[in-house]
Amino acid sequence: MIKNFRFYILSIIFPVTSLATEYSVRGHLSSKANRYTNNGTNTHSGQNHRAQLEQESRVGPKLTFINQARWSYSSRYSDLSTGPSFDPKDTHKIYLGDNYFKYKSSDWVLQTGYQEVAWGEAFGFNYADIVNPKDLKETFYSDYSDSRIPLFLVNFKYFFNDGSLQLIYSPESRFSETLPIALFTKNTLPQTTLTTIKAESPSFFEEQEFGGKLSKSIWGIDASIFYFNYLDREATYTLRNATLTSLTLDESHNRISTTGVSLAKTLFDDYVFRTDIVYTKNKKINSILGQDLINTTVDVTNVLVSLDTPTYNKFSGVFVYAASQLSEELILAFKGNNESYAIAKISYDLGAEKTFDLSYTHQFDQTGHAVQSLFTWPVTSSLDLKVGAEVYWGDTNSPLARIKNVSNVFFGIKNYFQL
Amino acid sequence: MQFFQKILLSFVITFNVFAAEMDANEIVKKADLRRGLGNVSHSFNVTITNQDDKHEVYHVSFRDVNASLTEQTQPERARGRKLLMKEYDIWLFTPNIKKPLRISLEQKLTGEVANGDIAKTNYAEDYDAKLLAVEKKGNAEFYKLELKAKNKKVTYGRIEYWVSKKDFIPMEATFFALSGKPLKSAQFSGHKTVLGMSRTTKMVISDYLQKNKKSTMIFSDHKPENFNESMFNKDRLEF
Repeated sequence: MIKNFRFYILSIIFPVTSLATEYSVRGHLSSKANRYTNNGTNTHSGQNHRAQLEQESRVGPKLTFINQARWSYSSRYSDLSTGPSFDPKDTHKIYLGDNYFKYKSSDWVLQTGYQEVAWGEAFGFNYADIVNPKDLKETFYSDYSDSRIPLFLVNFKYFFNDGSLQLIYSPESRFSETLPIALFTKNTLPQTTLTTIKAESPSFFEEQEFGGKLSKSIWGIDASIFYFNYLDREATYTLRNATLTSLTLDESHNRISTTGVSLAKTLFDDYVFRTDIVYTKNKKINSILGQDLINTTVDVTNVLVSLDTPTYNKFSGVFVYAASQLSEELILAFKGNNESYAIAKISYDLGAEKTFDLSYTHQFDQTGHAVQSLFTWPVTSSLDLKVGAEVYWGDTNSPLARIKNVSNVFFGIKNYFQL
Repeated sequence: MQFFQKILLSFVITFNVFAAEMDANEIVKKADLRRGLGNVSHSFNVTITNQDDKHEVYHVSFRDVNASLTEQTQPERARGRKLLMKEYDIWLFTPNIKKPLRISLEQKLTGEVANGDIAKTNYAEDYDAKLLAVEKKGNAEFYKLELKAKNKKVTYGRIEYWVSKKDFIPMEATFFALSGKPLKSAQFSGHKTVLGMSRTTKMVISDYLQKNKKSTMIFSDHKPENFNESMFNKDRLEF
């Protein structure tokens, strides 16, 4: 059904491109090589290659069609295979990226098809970026521009004076790709082999997702309130069967709803303050009680505040505080009852568009740490080079320390082209 | 009586000359018209070449001094990047982030160029001008003006500005931060007739201390154009 539906969309889109008054094809290729270490005792190499091809067809000034095809190959988390039961290590896939048409009137826009919608004001933790599922396998610091998975949406936006009303509807739920569950159980079930049975995405119109956002800029403040009713992008697990040394788990995604407020304001002329406050209702969280894997329905409150410093100096910074709290205290839960983080990111302008970023993340409560550095160099107008490193350490129960064996150095290039 | 008439006449003439020389804000307003189309709804392109010879091209939709939209069209990696300026608020949209972000006006756009250098070019609206001197270089005479920011939200705290006395064509400028620190200097050139008036179409901005760090801006394709109000809505940047 899903494949047929996509086929119908493409069969409509491609003939329309022949009517286009403006037509362009562009894309990018990127490669990244990683060298991982696990406390110096093990090292692994990983690689990640991506390609994206996009065609844009404009039919007059109001109608635009975007079609993207993406290819990716990844073995970046092969270093996680220190246990016997982890998910397959290498992935290779060809899939459709953004594929939609957009009709622009003077007062409203309708965009329908596979697309990305980003809500919220803040960075670091994108608590408000709830609409699209994500590919979250690439460590704690996944770049959301790469990791968002397009979702089929009917996306309508009406503009009024310094504001807008957005309504979205999706007939197809899709789920995030997350790190292997064994990462979360390895401390409590170290000798157990875990097998997960993945949940299939529901067919078209089997599940409906809907929501909206109201935005307004007033007195120099960008304010928005939003609501989204959807299937949880992250899975919860129930036990299918168990032996002394192995567990088989079923994945499921229950319906949740998220309500939030985002604000941004320029302070003292050159500083920008941002906040996202996000409340999610009826989220199921797994925990281990005795020898049983249970799941409990809770509400989750996420709060993030950040301050950007001016960028006209050589140094600029972003300082973030983020906290996440469950409505009920759970013991040995896959998610901490109270997780709070402070992030300091400093950027240094090396001139000629070269930058060096250094960020430190501190997790309170369980005391986890992460340091990430990144050197970015636009070598030519079409070629970027990136060299970086990331390292995690801390208490074994910290979400940061749980993925410490993906500490790595990497080298990446990205080439942009237009045909 | 003749003596009184002479005295009166000399006062009137002196006053008129003084007034003409001292109406600094009028000089700045006229100079603004020599750098662009002034405060009328129009569009134009800007090509910026930085010291490393990298080119960037922007298309600017300028409604008035209170609203402008700048969209980057080259290079490919930055295509679709947009800057919206409304009064003293500014938002950046990049295709990978996919949401408009509030940023500060002084944020550097590229090389030596600040956001305001492209989208806030009408000095008469943002600065109070004072005539410091009339200077002579060769046969040409220049007004030396001091422009002070009307409020703290403009791109620069102060500008020293040299404008040709003969035709109000801007020649040079030095830009200072609100703290008084000199930031950069600019040379205006590339005189061309654009829509019936001789205007400068080239601006070379260099770092005040490291003169080799420079960016060249070429303005072209000025075209009067009316825009729909919703085009300057930050929530429309993603479409």
